[in-house]
Amino acid sequence: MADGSNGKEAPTIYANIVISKLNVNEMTMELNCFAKPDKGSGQKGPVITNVPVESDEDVLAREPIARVILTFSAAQELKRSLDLAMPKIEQLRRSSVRVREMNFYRGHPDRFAEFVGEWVALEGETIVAHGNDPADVVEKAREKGIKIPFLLRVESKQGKNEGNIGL
Amino acid sequence: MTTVVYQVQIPYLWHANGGRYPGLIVQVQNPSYSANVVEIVAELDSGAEYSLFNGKLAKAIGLDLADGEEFRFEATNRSSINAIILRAIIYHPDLGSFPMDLRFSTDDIRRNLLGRDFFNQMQLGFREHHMEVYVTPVP
Repeated sequence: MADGSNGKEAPTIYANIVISKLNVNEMTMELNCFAKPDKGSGQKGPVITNVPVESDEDVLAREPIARVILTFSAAQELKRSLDLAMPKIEQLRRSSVRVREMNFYRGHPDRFAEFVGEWVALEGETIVAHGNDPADVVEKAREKGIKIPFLLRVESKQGKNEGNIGL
Repeated sequence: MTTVVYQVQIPYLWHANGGRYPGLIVQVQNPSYSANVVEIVAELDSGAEYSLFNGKLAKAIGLDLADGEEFRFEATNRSSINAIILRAIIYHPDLGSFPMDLRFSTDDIRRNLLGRDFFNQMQLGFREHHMEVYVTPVP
């Protein structure tokens, strides 16, 4: 069994399935990975595509990619820290509204160059409507089935000696 | 010394040119017809006494600028921005719903601002170095 004391860097394992077994002495966690990591996580990791849907039986039958054994006290500490951190992290995740749209806007200035000064309605990574009048843009977006259009006013590129002030 | 425990942590938004700013993505709803709603980006601006939105957004949620009272903002350079006061609802999934008398500009403005009338309904903290806003949605 690896004890982490051999001087080598610890391997990094990406998992999205964990099977936990707890007894009076220790907790065993068997890790597996059946889908690609969340693109929004910003983490580096393996990209796996076209993952077939597996049944619960298939999942349980597969050999884990790693097995971690925690002492009971370490398991207690894990529970305590998760209880403390999870509500905050869940709150943070909920706050990340329109992350996909904002990342697209930020990461693809070329796609928005022709719309500088205009309003665009964005849904995911698709510009569903654009124009100078947001009311028209909203109407076009609604015609395409968007119930709550997300509107952005496309900014012009600023020079290094330019900045913004509220009014 | 008062200690505030914030409940919500929100990262600054990104400008297309790479800069970051304190802002929220909020829904602006018609108070009479909640299906008339748009989702927009608004900057948090402690220098703005009242929240100011582009007047064209009023039409986009079915409000008529002719129905409201006139208002005038004075900017730091002595110029002014004229607006119309209309009732609307600001909604954010973490913070809740805020019925507000919003100012909608009669001139075309580039950014929407959530000002001190919005701040008055919650506690806000800015952590500029970490590019984060902290909010507790009670005054």
